[in-house]
Amino acid sequence: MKNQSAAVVSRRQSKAGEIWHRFRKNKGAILGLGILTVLVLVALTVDLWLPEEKINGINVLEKLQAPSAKHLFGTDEMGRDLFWRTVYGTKYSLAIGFVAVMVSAVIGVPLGAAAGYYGKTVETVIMRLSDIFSAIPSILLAIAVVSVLGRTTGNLMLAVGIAAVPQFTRITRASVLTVKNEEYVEAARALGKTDLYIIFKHILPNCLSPIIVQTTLRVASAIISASSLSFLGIGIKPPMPEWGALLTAGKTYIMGYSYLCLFPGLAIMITVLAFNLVGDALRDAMDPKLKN
Amino acid sequence: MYKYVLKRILMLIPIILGVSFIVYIMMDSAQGNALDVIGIDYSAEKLAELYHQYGYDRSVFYRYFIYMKNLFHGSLGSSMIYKKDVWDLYLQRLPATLKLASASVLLSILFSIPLGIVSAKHHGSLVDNASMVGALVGLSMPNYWLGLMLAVVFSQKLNLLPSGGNLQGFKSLILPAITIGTGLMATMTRTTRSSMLDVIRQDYLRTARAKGVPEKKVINVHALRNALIPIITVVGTEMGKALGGAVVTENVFSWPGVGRLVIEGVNQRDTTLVTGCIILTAVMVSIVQLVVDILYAFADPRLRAQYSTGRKKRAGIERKGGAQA
Amino acid sequence: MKKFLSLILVMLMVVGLAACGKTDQPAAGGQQPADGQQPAQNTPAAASYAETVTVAIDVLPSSYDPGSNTFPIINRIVYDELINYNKLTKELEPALATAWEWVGDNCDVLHLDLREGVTFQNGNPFTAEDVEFTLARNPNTNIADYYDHCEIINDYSLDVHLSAGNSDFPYILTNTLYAGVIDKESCEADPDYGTAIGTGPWAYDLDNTIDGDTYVFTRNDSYWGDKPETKQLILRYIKESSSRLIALQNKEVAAFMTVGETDVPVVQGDSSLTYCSGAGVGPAKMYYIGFNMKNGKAANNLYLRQAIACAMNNAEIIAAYGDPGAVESDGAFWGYDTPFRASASDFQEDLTFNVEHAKELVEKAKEAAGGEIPTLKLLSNYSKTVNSTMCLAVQAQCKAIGIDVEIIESDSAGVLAMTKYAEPGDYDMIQYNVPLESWPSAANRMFVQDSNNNRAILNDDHVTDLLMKAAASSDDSVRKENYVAVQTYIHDQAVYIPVYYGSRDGAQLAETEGIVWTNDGYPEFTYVRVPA
Repeated sequence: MKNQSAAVVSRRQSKAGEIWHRFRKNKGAILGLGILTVLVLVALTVDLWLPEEKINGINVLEKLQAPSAKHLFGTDEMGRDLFWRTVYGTKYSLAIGFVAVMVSAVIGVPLGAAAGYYGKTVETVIMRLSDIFSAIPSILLAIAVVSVLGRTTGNLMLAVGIAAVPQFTRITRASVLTVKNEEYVEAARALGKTDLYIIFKHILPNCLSPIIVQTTLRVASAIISASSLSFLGIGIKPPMPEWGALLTAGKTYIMGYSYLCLFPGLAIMITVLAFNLVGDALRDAMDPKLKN
Repeated sequence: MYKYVLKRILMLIPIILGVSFIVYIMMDSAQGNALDVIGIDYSAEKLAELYHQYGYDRSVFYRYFIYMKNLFHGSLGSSMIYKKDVWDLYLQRLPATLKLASASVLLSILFSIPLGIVSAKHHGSLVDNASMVGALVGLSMPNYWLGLMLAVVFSQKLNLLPSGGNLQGFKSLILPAITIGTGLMATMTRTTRSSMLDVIRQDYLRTARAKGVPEKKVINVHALRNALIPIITVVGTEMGKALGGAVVTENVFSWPGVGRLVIEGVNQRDTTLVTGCIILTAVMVSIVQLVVDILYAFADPRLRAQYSTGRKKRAGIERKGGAQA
Repeated sequence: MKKFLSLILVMLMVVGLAACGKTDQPAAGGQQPADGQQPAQNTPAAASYAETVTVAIDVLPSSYDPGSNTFPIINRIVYDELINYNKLTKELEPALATAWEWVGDNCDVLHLDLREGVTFQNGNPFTAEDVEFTLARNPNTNIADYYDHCEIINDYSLDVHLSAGNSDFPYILTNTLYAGVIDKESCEADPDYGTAIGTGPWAYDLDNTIDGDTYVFTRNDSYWGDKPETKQLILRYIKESSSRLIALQNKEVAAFMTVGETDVPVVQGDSSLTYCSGAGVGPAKMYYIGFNMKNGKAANNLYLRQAIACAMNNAEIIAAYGDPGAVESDGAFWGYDTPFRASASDFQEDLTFNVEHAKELVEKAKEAAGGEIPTLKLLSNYSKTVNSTMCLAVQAQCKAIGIDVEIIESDSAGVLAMTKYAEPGDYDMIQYNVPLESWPSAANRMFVQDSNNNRAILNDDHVTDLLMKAAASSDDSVRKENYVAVQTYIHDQAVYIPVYYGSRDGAQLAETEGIVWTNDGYPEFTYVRVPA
């Protein structure tokens, strides 16, 4: 028995190597990964080297200046340097993206696994619930959550996360269905292992790839959703320089000062692009059938 | 077939119940209520009277019960702010939403399917790479940002198209449709390409080629037909999303669609309006889903073989296919 | 089976097409100002102006009931008030009432003579019964709290009996929001839409109106006063200021309310547009900071309130937002340029901007509190940039004297709920604004106990007493004495800290005529016209 699980592990390891091998060959993916690495590093360390004064310090004398050597992206309506605000915004946007997706994964994956594994009533209940949630347009759901719970960063993450739960549930369920009747699962069951053990030890590790791909792609759309909420005026609170909030502030000035909208917009686009590149490449690498 | 359609329509009932419960309770427990919004300058007695009239002196569940009782009698109630039937308000906005949704979906079908096919056919070529990069960029662009930029360029600078509203017929439709269409196009090009790639090298295509069927026919008839299922799924999902009201785009272009109605409803705590509109949207989305499922049967009668582990709706088709066989 | 499917498809297509077709109809009917095809039967005078004028608005109208419609623009064009308040001369003028006078000295019976021969938009005659009906059903606190009953003398004259003396009642009648006269008969016949009928120069075109988006009005050809030149007026709700400007530059609209802060130079620099400021005309919006006197942490500490008042640099706050027509407050919480206004010499405390003085007051406040000052919560409504800007500035200024302020934000319904149902600890201060009338009793509704406008939740019997005394007297010196006493008390106690009177603006095409731009952000579009 031990040998068999060892074989499973080594097979998994070699599979990971294989995926990495295929992933590496994709130039776009490497580019995306590079961008993400830089962004994550910035997000993690920005508090250490960027003083708050530089981001939120109001300087009315220098308001609404066009991009220049002193202010790379120009300044906003309160004279704050847009470049530093955009850099600092990385922290918020990435955090919102990651946490929101974690929320949806943490809720969605176990539900999907339970639905797929147990079938019958459990499945019906979970899937109907997920149908109900996906019948509510996600942005409206998010808006409702924020207006009920109040406008805080945590609630924003929760709102964006909850709206994406049904997708995780579905994908997990679908892939659990494909592995639940595999021999090693049957074997574990025969050995009297608990359901929980089987789900977490045998089933989920073997249907990780679609979940990982989904997670990567979802971070991208969570960033867009969160910035859309900011755009509608219910996102993250000022003066925090989340990119959507920067854009929102910028849209008031779009006529005379379109750069205020341009740079945060580009920042969102590049980040989302990087996530999409990586997600795509991961999918191709994990499912070589598509790639030939 | 009829049985299947009937069953799907019956399945709307739990969805309506669930959606109404979630939305009603959520809206109702938000800070502030519509009566305070209307009655900001009302005298204390009048306001108390109003509270009593709308059941705000009792629990949320009582109000929900009353709401459901009316719903059961076929009434969505009247909006607390506009004092108008929710159904009427929804109908006022529905044409604009339908118009925008179908225009953007049509637009993206028109461009993305040919592009996806070409990309798949010339897999790895310059066209393929360019269209894939383009699609990724399109997918990564927040659409409100695109909308703003389009408005600045085409309305303000070039003075070609109206900047918003729905008062100038077709001209008004162009910018919002492009804004929503861009994202859709990106998704659909990618889907078309990958599902074409999936079928393009399959045995039966090789057989067809070997039998001397012209390459054009092989691609456009045999391959496309088999690649259609995922494309239809995407079209269906996106159409469903668009019907929910492209809230953000509607806001940018002050488009009189359902989404904006709901947003203003949320801002003014108009519980009946918001609940009613979301129920109706959910019903619309479910109907689109049903149509998509029926279209599957058109696209590929051999669903059963290909999709043994699909989702709920595919499972539905599968059962139906089984009955036919 | 296939037939069934194709049937469904065909049906869906038909529905889709029909839906698309339908939306075009009102559009085609509504928007053709540039179209030269004038109907032949038009009078020569009307022919020289466009038939349809579209105007962009930035606030959403709500119901068709003038009593609960919080949108003065529509109220003003669809309904008539009993007495008109001339914003330029600050005088009362006859409207539906041709004459009015107090009966007796207590200011509690008002005699009204009504205009004869006026009809509602549905053709019903306007009589004293409609006035009685309007006043009796009005839910507005300004009327409902004072109105007792009417004594109808004949069709065109009546006595309005008040439950308490209120010398400002004629002024209250000038507001269509409180007293736009509606048709009793149509309201009784149709409780939902009966209220949509008034005597004003414009009538709702409900068939072409899309609620919450486009409001269409047709000219009331039997209007008793001057009739507008334009035949159809469309109000379009465009939320984003930049979109409104683009729509104007594109000539989709003839004018719009509220120019975005930085769009002002764009409008001024464009020779085909005119920048219109309402500065000085009508009520001005007062931006203020109020303390939660009911259960805020700061509220029970007089020195802390005064310290914050001293720490606030109004000039810097105005500069941060950049309102071109702003008038800095001199400390009195009262309407700008109105009678009975207190002046700086009336105040006993000097609470003008002075950081040193503020720091001394903070020390006193710490002593009184017996320790450090906790972080204060400042409540604000995030729907407008000006609010966030002001909060950030106040936060920075408080920080300079060592007081930490945390900004908590909600949408307007949320802020309203928080002030109304405030629990201890919800908030300590509020940033808000209120249009202060340009009549004598300019700000008294801000101090009425349990009123929704009383955002400081100030339930002070002393203030109420002074207000009652002022209202019940017809003697101006008594009124002034009491109103000034209220203002002095509010200032010295630092309950509300007034920051500035904002100005509201708009923009129009250079050729657009007839709009009266006012300071409260609700321009009068009654006579808007565009030469054809």
